[in-house]
Amino acid sequence: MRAEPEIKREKKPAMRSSLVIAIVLMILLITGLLLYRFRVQPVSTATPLSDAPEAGLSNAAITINLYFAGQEDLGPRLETRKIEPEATTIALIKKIIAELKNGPVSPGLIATVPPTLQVKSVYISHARIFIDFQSESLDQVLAGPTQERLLLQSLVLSIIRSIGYTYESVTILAGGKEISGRHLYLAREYPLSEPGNTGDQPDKFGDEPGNAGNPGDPR
Amino acid sequence: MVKGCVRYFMKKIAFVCFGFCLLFPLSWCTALPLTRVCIDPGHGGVDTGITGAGPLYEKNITVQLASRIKEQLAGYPGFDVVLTRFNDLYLTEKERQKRIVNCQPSLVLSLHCDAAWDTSVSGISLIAIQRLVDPLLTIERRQAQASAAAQAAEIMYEAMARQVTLLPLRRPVIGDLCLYRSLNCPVVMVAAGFLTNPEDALLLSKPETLDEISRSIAQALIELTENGEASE
Repeated sequence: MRAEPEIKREKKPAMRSSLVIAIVLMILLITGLLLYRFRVQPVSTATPLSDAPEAGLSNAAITINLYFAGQEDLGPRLETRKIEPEATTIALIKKIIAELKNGPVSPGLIATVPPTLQVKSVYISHARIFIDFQSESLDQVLAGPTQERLLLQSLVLSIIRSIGYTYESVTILAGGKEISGRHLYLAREYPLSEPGNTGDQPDKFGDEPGNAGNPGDPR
Repeated sequence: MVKGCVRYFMKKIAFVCFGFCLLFPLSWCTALPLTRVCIDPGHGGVDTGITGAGPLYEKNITVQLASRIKEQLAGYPGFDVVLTRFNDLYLTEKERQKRIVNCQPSLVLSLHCDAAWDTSVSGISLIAIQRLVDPLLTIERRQAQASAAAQAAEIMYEAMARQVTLLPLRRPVIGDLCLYRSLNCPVVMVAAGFLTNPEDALLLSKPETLDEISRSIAQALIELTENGEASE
């Protein structure tokens, strides 16, 4: 009969400490989850932020990678082209867009960037490439999910595969403003990701740009 | 007495925290089993969408398809189909979003027509909507949403492939659509033919084609529901 209170007295600190440990664990778990959710995406540090001459370019003719679409499956198809080197990255991007507007030479490929599309300006800020199109000319192009997807696919793949994976995303602007309103298919930003298999089954999941990798992955 | 109360409440708080920790990550996962489908016919009113030869307006084709799908599914038990518009009504982006959110759908079916700079391109396209860029969304959450939409699009493709004969059916692809970024349910877009292609445009002007496409989509939605129920 006398032993009971003694046992109770011994249990009290044990219960209290286990409760404290449980609460601390809960707090740690919640903090961990919140930190994981709102973690900062890695930013590429090897990015030239100004319109400076690209180190990789030589005075000889360079090869650019242009991506059009396959006539059958509309998947990305590569066509290489030799051009005169450009002094800056921005000039090179403009040249790539101009070459895309000229359309493909290889048979079985279709044009994805209409010649009517007018580039207002191209600039680079914080590892992001901004392509500002003339609003009216982009309005005429943005019709239907496929046209917009092909346009985006061509622009992003051709630019990143010609200038290298030093940039995190390509943002499309219309008249200096982010695209919104009724032309909604087009994502304002498109991450630079490896499109996976571009030759065999390009229309399957996982072969689309932006699908194979994580946005923000520095490459 | 006071210590006992404090201990009691601390236990309760610990239980709540534990439950929160368990349920919070689980709530991020998107479940597929369908009960309510929100069909969103694209464009409307002053927003005509793509204009084909005729003139044939995308806004009219999408609403006709939506009405037909709703009719097809009317007698199906346990199926609730809600349309964002029934007639030639212009909806702003916010109004459209509000209508979709209010009906709390398990799946959003976005209806559109397609266009391509090259007029030889034809066929029906299926697009699983995925948020490609969203800094506040975890990779896991993004993948869960994408996989739910992709799974739905794949099932729909398989079902539609058996029914559609007049137009070629393209394999599903993934696309981003700003309009549906705030939604937490899978979104699949069906673009019913290229209005820039003369043959597609001619076919889409005929009621038989619209009947066939709507029938195939309705069947696809039924199979999607059955698949969802089977997986429960």
